[in-house]
Amino acid sequence: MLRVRQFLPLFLALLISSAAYAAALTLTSSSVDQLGMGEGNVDRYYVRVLSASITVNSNAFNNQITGGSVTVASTVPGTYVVTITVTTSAGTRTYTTTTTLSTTPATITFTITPLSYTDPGVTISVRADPA
Amino acid sequence: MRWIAALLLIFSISVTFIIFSFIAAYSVYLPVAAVDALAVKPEMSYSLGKNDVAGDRNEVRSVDLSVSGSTVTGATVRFYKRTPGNYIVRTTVTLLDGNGNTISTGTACNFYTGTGTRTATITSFTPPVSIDSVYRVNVVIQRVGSC
Repeated sequence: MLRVRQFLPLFLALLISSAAYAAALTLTSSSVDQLGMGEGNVDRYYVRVLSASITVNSNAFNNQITGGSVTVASTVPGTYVVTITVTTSAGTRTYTTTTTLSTTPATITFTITPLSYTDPGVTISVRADPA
Repeated sequence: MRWIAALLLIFSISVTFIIFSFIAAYSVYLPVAAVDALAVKPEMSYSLGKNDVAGDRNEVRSVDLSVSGSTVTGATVRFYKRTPGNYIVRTTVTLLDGNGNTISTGTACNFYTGTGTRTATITSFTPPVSIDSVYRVNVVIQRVGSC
């Protein structure tokens, strides 16, 4: 009985250290900056969307958006997953592609399931995440 | 006394083990090249306006920002003028930051005729801002009596 009690702290220590080790290994790229900016020269990027355009199925007032194009650049060249979200009061459409971005703007043309272009307008969001 | 000494020894070994575990865990080799670039501004959005007002039915089709270096210097807006007739249209492009605050504005005011796709050119933004500060671009077309 005495031996079990003696080794209880050791068992606890093993348990805690295992948990600590597992927690430390769950470091992801997005949390590296928690180590502080001085820990390494990890690139930090800005997405620059220089233009947004839509194509419509007609010039009638009750027309629909069928696609469009955006011109995108990133301050850090690389391969990105670009997600384009088109939103009007009638709904939302999303288009995703993987492409190479650099400081030179690149045009991405997209098509979507027709979406009513309603008053007061349309919002086109462009998001780029490292692939 | 002997069992107290034994307990202290086990406790010391345990604490040392925990400390070494932490050191080992946080010393995992993580080359910078293997770390994805961190997003400071991963997203931008454009809001293109559409009017459903009698006598002012216009809709924005596109907007292109001009930059010099990283400074936004102008914009070209293409819109569809649906309401027939000849009248003045004010085109306003507003640049907003990540908190939704307006940081710069550019305006063009022109006389247009008929219906169809028309272009408005904004030649300056006040104050000049970096594209990296812009999170949202709002484009509004509005019929006005005078510029």
